[in-house]
Amino acid sequence: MRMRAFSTGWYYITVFRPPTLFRFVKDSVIRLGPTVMVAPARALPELLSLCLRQGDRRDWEALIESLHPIIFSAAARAAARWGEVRRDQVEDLTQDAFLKLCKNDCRILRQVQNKPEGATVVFLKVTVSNLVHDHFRAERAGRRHPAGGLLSTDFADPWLGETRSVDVVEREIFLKQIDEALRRRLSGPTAHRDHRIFWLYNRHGLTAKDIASIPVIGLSEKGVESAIHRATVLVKEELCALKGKSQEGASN
Amino acid sequence: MRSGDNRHLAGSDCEALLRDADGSDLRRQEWDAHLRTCDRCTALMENYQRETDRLKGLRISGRTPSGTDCPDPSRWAQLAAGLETEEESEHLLEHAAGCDACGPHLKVLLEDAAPVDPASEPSMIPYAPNPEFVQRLAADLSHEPSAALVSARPVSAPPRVSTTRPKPRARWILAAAALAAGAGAVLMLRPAWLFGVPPEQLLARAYETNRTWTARIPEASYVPLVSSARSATPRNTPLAEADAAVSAALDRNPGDRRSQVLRARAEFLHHRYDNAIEALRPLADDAALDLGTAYLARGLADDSAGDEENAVEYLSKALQANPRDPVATFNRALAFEALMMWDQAEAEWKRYIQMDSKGGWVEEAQKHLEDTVQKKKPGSAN
Repeated sequence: MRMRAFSTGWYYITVFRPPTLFRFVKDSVIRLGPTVMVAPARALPELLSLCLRQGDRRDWEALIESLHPIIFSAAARAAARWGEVRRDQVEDLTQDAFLKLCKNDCRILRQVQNKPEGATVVFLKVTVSNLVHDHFRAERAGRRHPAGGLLSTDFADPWLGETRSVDVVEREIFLKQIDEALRRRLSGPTAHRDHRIFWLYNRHGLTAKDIASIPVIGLSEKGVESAIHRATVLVKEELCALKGKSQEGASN
Repeated sequence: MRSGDNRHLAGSDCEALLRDADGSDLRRQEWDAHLRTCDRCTALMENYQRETDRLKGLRISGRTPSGTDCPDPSRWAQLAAGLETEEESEHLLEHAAGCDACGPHLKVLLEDAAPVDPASEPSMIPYAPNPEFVQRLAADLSHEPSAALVSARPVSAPPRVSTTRPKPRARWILAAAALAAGAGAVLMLRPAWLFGVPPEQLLARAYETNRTWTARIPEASYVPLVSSARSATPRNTPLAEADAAVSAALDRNPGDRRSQVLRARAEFLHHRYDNAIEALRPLADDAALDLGTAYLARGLADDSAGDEENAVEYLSKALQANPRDPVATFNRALAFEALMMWDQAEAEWKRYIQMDSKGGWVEEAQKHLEDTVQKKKPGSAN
C-alpha cells in the first residue's frame, strides 16, 4: 500500500510537478549531504600564511571573505575621488584588485606573509588605492587621447590641463629659502625627521594624522602637530628676519 | 613703538594668534591691545600673515608627472605598512618630502588607507558581500594557484533578490527565458572565458610554454630559460591559438594596428625575426618595444651587425614613452650587455632591480648584474 502510494506520488511529482521534484532533490541533497564542519575563526595573518603554504578551498574562502570588505571599502573610497561611482563599478574594481593581488602566484600577497594584521590591512588598502587610481588615470588619459595608449599617464597628465597654483620659478626660490631656514634652525637628533614632517605638511598637505600613521615617523598625532608648530614658527621667524633685512637694505 | 605696551610679541605668539581664528585664546585680548599700540608688532604680525599665505601657496593644485628617480608606487604601500627597513623608509620619506609627484600621491594613499568613518563619509557605498565571486576565486586559488589569473574572471555583482516569490509556473517560464537570453548573450558577446583568451595573453603563454629567449615580451610571467635550440621547439598550442586569433582579428579589420603588432609578436615567437622587424618598422611609433625586442632577439641569435644598436634605440624610445616599463628596461639592459657597454648595462640592471620587487625576473636581473660587474673588472675575458 505504501509502495503504491509512493509510486503514485513519484509519477505525480515527475510528470506534473517538476518544481516540487527539484525542491525534493535539493532538500534531500541538503539533508543527506556531508556535515559542514565550521572551522574556528583564524586571525588574518595566520589564514594568509596557511593559504599561501597549502590552503584548501575552505581556507581560501575564509581568507577572501575576510579580505573582501577591506578591499571593497578601499576601492570605494579611492574611486569616490574620481567622481560619482556606482556599486557595480566598485564591485568590478574590487574583483580586479583581487585578481591583481593573486597574480603571479600571489606575488603581492606574499609581501605581507607573516606580517602583523594591522600592517597587512594598511598594505592592502594602499595597494588597492594605488590600483584604483591607476585604473582611473589610465581611463581618463584614454578618454582624452583615444588614439593613445602609447604615452604613459605620467607623460599625458601635463597635457590634460593641469595648472599650478603659483609661478614655478618663484616657488622654487621660496622652497630653497625655506629649506635653508630649516637647515639653519633645526638641530639635534630629530632635525631630519622634523624637516620631513614640515615639508609633508606644508608642501604636500598631509595632515598630522596622515603623517603620524607612517610607522617610521614614530610620533603620535599630537607629537606631529608639535613638530609642525615648532618648525613652522622657526621658518616664519627666519623668513620675517630675511624680509626685515631686505627692507632695511632697500631703505639704506 | 606706541606707548602702553609692556611686552612685544614673539614668533610663537604670532603663530598662536594666526591659529586662534575663533578668538578663544585667553591671551587674545592682551595681544589685541598690544597690537593697537605697537607698530613693530603690527608689522611683525603682518609679515607672519604674509609668510603664512605664502606657505599655503606652496601646495600644487594639479598632478605632477613622476620622474625617473621616483620609487615604484608599490613601495608606498610598504612604507605605510611599515614593511620597509628603517633606512629605506627614511630614504622614501626624504624623497616624498621633496617630490611634487610622490608627496601628494602619498597623501592620497594615506587618506585612502585611514579607517573609514561612516559619519564623515555618508556618500560612501556600503559594503555588500559577493559570495559567488568569493567561492569561484577560492576554488581557483586552491586548485591551481598559478592559473588563478586565467580562470578567475571577474564575475558580476550578486543578483538582486526579489522579495516577492513568483509562482512555480512563472518561475519555470522565467528560468527558460533567462536561459534563452543567457545563451543568446553568450553567442553574441563571445566572452573570452568561453571562446578563448585574448591573443595578447595567448602570446604571453606561448612565450612561457617554451622560453628560448633571454629577452622578455609584454605580459609574460617569469619562466626559466629552457634552451636556445630552435629545433627543440615543442608543439606550442597557445602560439597556434594566438596565430588563429590574430589572423581572425586581421581578417575582420586588416588596418588594425594593434593586431598588426600582435601578428609581428607571433612572428617573433616563431623565431622569424626578419618578418617581425619588417612588419613592425612601419608601426615603429606604436610598437617601439616590440621592434626593439625583435632587433635584440635577432642580434643575439644571428649576430647581425647593428641589431643591438637598433634595439637600444627603439627600446629607449619605448622608455621615453613609459620610463618605468619593466620589459623595456630589462631588454635594454640585455642590449647594453650584448654591446659590451658594461657601465650602461650595470646602471640599467640596477634600475630594473629597483623597479621590480621580487620574483624570477628580478633574480635573473640580479645574475646579469653580477655577471656585468664581473666582466667590468680589469683582466676579465671581455
